[in-house]
Amino acid sequence: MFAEIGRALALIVNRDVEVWQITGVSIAVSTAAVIAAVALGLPLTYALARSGPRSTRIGIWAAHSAAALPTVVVGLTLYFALSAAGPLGWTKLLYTRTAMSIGQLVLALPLLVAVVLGALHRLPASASEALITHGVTPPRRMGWLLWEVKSAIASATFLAFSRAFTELGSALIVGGNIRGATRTLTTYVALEYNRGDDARAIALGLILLVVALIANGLMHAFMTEQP
Amino acid sequence: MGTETLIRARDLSVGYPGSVPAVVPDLDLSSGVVWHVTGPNGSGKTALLKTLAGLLRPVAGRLEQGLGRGSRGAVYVHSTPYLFTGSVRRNLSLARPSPQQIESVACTFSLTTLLDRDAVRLSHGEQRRVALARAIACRPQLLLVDEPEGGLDEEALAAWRTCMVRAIDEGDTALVVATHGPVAFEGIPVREIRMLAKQI
Repeated sequence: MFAEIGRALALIVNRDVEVWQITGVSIAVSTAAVIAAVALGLPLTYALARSGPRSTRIGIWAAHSAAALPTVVVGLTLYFALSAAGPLGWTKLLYTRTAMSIGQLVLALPLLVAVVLGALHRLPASASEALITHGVTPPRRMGWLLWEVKSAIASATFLAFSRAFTELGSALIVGGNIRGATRTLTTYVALEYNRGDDARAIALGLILLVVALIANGLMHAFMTEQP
Repeated sequence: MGTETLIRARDLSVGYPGSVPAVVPDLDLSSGVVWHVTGPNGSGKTALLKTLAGLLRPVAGRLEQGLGRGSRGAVYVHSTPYLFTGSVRRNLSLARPSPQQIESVACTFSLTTLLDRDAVRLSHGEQRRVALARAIACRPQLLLVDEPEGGLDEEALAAWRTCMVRAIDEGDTALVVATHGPVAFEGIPVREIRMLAKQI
């Protein structure tokens, strides 16, 4: 066991091409998913927050429920949608990194919405009223209020990244674990270790762990900054 | 001194959703005057100010007003104003006044040395000065202030009164204040809007 860990560390330190290529794919796929989640999630969250306290509470409940979606269910649903006979088969996205990012987007978005919506909900009504009464236009209002919850946004972004980066079910089903294309840290560790290359699997597992811990550490750092 | 009617209210009732509405006496709100809203706690003073500012819908009655919000419109200042994170200068720039206007209003309220300080870390009195300065930087036609003098020291009170007397004298602004204390602005007539205790 210790010998395998030693070999795994050597692979990382010696910059094994496949190890770092797989790491690069994982980071790229999850980063794209999180960027899309932020771009879609912030306007959506702001619209929910503005739609009244009842809608906000329903939105928070719905986002929390969606955050608990099993990754394999997301992967399977996306697989049926993107497969040749599915309604989105014409896009030919199945077994691509884009499909993997879409799956991770579905998993990351509810987390981001839940955290940011909660933060916006906690702002006093006087914040929004101050903007309205000073004649601030609706697009600028969104900017001012989102800036007020910037720590929550940063925290939610790293939480979403952590969820996307460490998920397996969706990436495996819609990505297919294709070497050099859609193979990520999780799909490799899950499926390839039984080929006997334990050292490589351990190396990838260690990288996965370190990146996830960094993302979680950043999430907590921003969470403690929140008022 | 101008006496233009800015807002006309008839048979007006104000209040928050789900609460007992407050009946407002008929009024023709004109500039050149300080309007002093009085009444016991819970009589609807704040609800009236927010309704006149367009932040609350009237519960009943007619409210005719052609004012917008912000610059040259109606601006409402909370009794516990919300200041945004960042510097005092950032807060004063809320309604996008010119840099000269920011400097001028900061000077009036003795905020020049605080312009680059974090607004949320200021004392309560300093925060109230920033909120009043932020509202006045809009040069509103109608300024509605809830408990304007709470937390202000003598210097800030003098600045606030001088600033308002100047704006009202120029026929520029109508001021509506809701407060339990007496209202005195040198040379400016004060008219009272008395809110009655709600009949439950």
